[in-house]
Amino acid sequence: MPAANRTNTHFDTPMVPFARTILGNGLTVICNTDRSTPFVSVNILYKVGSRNEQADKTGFAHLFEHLMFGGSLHIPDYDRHVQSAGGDSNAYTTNDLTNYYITIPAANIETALWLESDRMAGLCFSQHALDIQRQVVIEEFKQRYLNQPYGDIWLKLRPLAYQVHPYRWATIGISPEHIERARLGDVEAFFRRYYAPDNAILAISGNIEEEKAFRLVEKWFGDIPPVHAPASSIPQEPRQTAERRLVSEDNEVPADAIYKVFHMGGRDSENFYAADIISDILSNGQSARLYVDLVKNARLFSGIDAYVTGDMDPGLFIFSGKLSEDTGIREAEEAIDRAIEQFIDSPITERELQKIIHKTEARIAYGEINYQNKAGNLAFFEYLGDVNLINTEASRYRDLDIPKIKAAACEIFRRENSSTLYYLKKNPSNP
Amino acid sequence: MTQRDSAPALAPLTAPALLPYKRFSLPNGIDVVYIHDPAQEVFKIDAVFEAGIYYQPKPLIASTAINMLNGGTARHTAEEIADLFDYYGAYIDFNCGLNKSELSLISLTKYAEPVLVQLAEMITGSIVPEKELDLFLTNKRQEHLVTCEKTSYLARKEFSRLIFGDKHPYANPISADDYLHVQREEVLDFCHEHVHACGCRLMLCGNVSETVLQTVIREFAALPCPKAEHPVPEYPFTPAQPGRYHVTKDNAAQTSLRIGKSGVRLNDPDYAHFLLLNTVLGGYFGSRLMSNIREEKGYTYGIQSFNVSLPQGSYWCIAAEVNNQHTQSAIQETFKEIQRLRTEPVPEEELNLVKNFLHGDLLRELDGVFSQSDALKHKLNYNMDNSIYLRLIREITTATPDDLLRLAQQYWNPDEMYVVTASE
Repeated sequence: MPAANRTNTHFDTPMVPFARTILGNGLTVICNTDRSTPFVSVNILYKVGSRNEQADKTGFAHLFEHLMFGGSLHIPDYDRHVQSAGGDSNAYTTNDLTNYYITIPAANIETALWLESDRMAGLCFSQHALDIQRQVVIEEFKQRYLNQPYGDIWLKLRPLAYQVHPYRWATIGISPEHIERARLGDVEAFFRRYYAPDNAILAISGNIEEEKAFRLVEKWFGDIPPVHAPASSIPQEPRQTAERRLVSEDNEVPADAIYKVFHMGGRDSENFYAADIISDILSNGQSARLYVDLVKNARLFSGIDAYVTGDMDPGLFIFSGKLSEDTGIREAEEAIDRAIEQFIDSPITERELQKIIHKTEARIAYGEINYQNKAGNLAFFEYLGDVNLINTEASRYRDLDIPKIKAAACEIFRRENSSTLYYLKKNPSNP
Repeated sequence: MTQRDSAPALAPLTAPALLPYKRFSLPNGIDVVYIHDPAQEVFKIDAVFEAGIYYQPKPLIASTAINMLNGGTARHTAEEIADLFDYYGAYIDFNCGLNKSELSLISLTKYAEPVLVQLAEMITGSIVPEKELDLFLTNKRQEHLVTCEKTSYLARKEFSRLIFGDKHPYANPISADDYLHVQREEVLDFCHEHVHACGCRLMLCGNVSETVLQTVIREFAALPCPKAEHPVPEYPFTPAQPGRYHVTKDNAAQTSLRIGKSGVRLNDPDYAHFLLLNTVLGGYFGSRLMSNIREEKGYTYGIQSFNVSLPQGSYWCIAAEVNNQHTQSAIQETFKEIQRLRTEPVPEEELNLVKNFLHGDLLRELDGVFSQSDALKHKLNYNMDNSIYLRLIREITTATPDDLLRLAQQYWNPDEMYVVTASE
């Protein structure tokens, strides 16, 4: 169906009003006033993630995130001040970024800015803190990846799908040995290179006027010198030319699983939005195609999902399924292949498309309920290159028509663009 | 240059601003409670029933009954129901608790009418088709087998068994075979007996427009209220001997640790002070357990303690996933921290910090209309409302080190505690 059929469809998205400024030292500052809360969320995004790591010292960006709580120039005990102010804070690291956030009563926003500015201005490098956090992160590694059924799938899948790009390792790192390898010198160099105002975005959402927020940010961050570091050059993945396969046997899980992944566009590309719509048509909700066809009717899978990674650099489109007891792994793969063929060959109905439009509209509205989300999204979209996406992203979906969606599917779902992992349970006859 | 060597002055934390709620009854007895915020475009409805695990005649019946409410009615198939919610971008969630079961739906207010009509229809007219039931049980059984691979689950189940007794519904023992023995009639009977207007509460929040209210009033009036009241069954707790218990799981990369005993209920006069005491020990990032076992020793990624208040009881528990080599040390250090709280008063400075953190945490529980509704839903089960927060905050603010010392001595006798490990 041509796009013209859809002109009467509107994403009825409310605006998130915000103001943006850049300090003299390069720190980008964004503020959204939200009077529905007595709190503010102060969110600092550093433009560094596991994709900036060296291949022999993976997991470092995330380990470093832990060390950011170990004391700064004037403040040995970051957490204590957050807690005294009635606040709460945490952080996370992804392939692309490291994000720190504090939720604090609006009247105490200066405490948050003081803490964040002090650790941006200078960190205390302590061998003891490093030794302890290495151990903590190794326990985190076990808790999230090794002591969970199916927990190590991405540790196997990433190096299959990527051969060059640093996305070939997980944020936690390739193995606990890499984390053991981190030295204090690495910590200092990493801090100097990446933790600077001109490599960060500060987004605030909550009960504060924009001018006041900007004035306070200038007060606390204005004197921190920039580093003028050269832009990171991330080795990009060459186009995949042959399909890849991996069989992982003897896993302590009750059911076989299959992962089939395809390279797709980066977060800011049109291809991303098309792929996101494709994944919604295939698997968003119990009326979506994969659930109805493969779980409900054919009963080949106990669960199946299609989703996209949303990485900044070209990411992955993923099919992941857990097999029903009597399903063979090849049969499962054929079923996924068939679902892909059908997607390409048979029409997308107007109702399916309308459904996706409603879902996207609802998802954006649900996301805007929470001011912490808004602060995180403002920082992320700024990083992506266009902070206005917070209000215009819906139109990126709307601009796609069925021919474009089909074309994206044809481009993504090529056999030579795929990597397939069979993750098999322990064979009881072969202990 | 900016002076960063001294902290900015802190503003004292304020009392929460409680949003007013409205409440009325439908002719069939359903209790409707709502908080309206016209600035939102979204609304949420929770339909809460006295239909939890506590009331089921055998394992899995309650959760199956609740989850099968989207399995189809005389008028719509499961697929049509799913399609309607998907079409309007509404999300529905099913939750079977120990006493209550609930359905939660979130939707754009402009699509309220069709989604609410469908929601009411599936609650009043669930027919539990055999095909849907079989699909649900088969897939849930596999999910259960996956869960059984997790040491955290094994430790938690063992802890529940010890503290409530293996016959008590709160222990909720489930085996993979149970999934093979659920009969359609049992599920339907459970729905008829427990998913009805009596004891039902509808919590609404967000943009609860006039259309939302009128649709709720019209559609939920059809929910029957059975004449005969079933007496609430009484099950005594039969706790096991306190002490050490181990669950074996081959090749576990970590040890799941649970230490605990009975806790304090929300309506107990000690509740506020116990909450504060628990926060000192393991209720926040800077807690004594986190400082010692994670930040000083590096034995774990995280260790927490928490108190759970239930209608017929309560429990208090410490939970951590620990390095296999350091499990015994972690247990020792945990008891050392408990012992310190039983013998030494908490220093004023630390106490003030924890008071502020907890005060802030309670304010966060009431942050925004959706959070206030969730908090209110829980409090109504104890015939309270969110004004309890004003009292809790007052009591927390005025607590003394002696209050906490007395409480630690009263509630945290190590001889009364269970220590559960799950690992190799």
